[in-house]
Amino acid sequence: MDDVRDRLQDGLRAIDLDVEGALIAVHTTARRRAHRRRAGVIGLALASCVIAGAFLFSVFYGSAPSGPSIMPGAPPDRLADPTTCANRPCTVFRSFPVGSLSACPTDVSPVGGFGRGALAAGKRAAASGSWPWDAAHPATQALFASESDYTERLDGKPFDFSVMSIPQRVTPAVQALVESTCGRELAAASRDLVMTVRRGGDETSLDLVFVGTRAGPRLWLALPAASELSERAQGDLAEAQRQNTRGTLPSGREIGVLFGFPEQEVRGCSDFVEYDEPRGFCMDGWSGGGGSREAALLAAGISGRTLTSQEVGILEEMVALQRLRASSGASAEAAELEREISREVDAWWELNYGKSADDDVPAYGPCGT
Amino acid sequence: MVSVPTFDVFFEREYERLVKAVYVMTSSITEAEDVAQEAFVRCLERWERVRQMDSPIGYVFRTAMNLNRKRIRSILRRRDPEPQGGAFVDGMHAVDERIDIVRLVRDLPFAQREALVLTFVLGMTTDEVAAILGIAPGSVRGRIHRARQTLQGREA
Repeated sequence: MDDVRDRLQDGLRAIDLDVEGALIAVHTTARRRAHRRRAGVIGLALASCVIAGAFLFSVFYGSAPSGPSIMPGAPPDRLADPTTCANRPCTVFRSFPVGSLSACPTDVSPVGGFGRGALAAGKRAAASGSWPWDAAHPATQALFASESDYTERLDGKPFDFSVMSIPQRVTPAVQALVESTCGRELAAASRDLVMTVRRGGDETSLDLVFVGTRAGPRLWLALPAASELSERAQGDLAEAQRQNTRGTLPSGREIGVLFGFPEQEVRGCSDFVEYDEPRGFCMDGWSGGGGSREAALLAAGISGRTLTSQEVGILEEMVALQRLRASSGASAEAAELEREISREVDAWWELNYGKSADDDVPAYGPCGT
Repeated sequence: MVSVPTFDVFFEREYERLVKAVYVMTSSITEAEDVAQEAFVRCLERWERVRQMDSPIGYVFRTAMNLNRKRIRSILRRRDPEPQGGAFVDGMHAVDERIDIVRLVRDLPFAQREALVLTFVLGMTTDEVAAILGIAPGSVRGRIHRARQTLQGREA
């Protein structure tokens, strides 16, 4: 009997496992499911609110709002300024965006729609004087201006963005990682995709760089961008590069452990990132669900370069979409326009950057998968 | 009751043993890792309750076995002849080839294999195994005895 036991244990001894990596994967999965469960509860609550709101409006206004409410002959200034919508029924639906508004159908984050996080970030940065507003193309300015204000919060903690053209902000190590991960061409393209984030407006806090690219497995990099990387950050970076050389996720499925950030969780749809401290943020629309290319276009728009007629056209359509949403909420017309814009953005991307590695991934497929 | 301070400590102590146990029950180290990790995720979600149990690892093992059964049922439903098990070849294939005893154990009937793995790989006592499997300690001993006979017969 002991012989069987010993031989069995001897045989199994040859198996070497990455216990630490597995522990990270387990924690990441459990945390993501907890987020999803909470999001499900919030979604139900929101749905209840929408139904209750529709009922109340049907009482006060005679019927629930439906269909596009941009009426022929409506005053243009009214459409241009979402705040004039405040006294109209559509406001409620604007305040409670539903998943169908988002580029990502399963997204139940507080704000829906592609690039809206970037829009708000740009506005805020412009307001703080840290962003060259005047250099932005007028079409981009109009787009930002069409977005109503809202406050991004997670767990009640405010955060701040700064959006900028980033090459000078990226350390050689980060650039090398981007190149090794995304390929040289996409790395070059990623100059338009990178957003630096400084949380809480605290000058001493760690900056992060987010490289949104659709190459590889719904890849998001969350990397320290500060020129003086902490020892831990350097370790993480080295680990990230090491993991990347395998060309696969350590667990074979968890994106959150890709770069070995123990406290980091990256989700396919709304990206929650925690690093060094239990603070995070949701960058809506900057996901694998179709937001990154739009965000790239926005970045191009604020970079100060001359935009092509195609780019201007797309930006103008985005403005139209924001107005449509402001006036009619989650209408079928808005959804169709959103899809149309995304198709055009994809065409724009392909024209400028070529087909990327993940073009087989459906732009509107389930998020986080 | 076993003293289990935190989930992380518990995981680090038991993960490797569990993967190896599941590996004997399945046929691929990748599958074993997946099943074991999923079992630990469920354990983590119920950790406050699981840590109070007499045998937390027993709970995780049962969970892993249930997950494995579900996986097999799913495979059979899809009528996929060799999806992840059977002749599946992964990075551990070379190691697997050297582990004759593992392959012999894997050919045992499920009930015997289960008792053998719990006892020999997870190092549980007969009473603990009996409690986990919901059978009498004598039945555990019987299964292990029959497993040994089968193994000896096949090696002879």
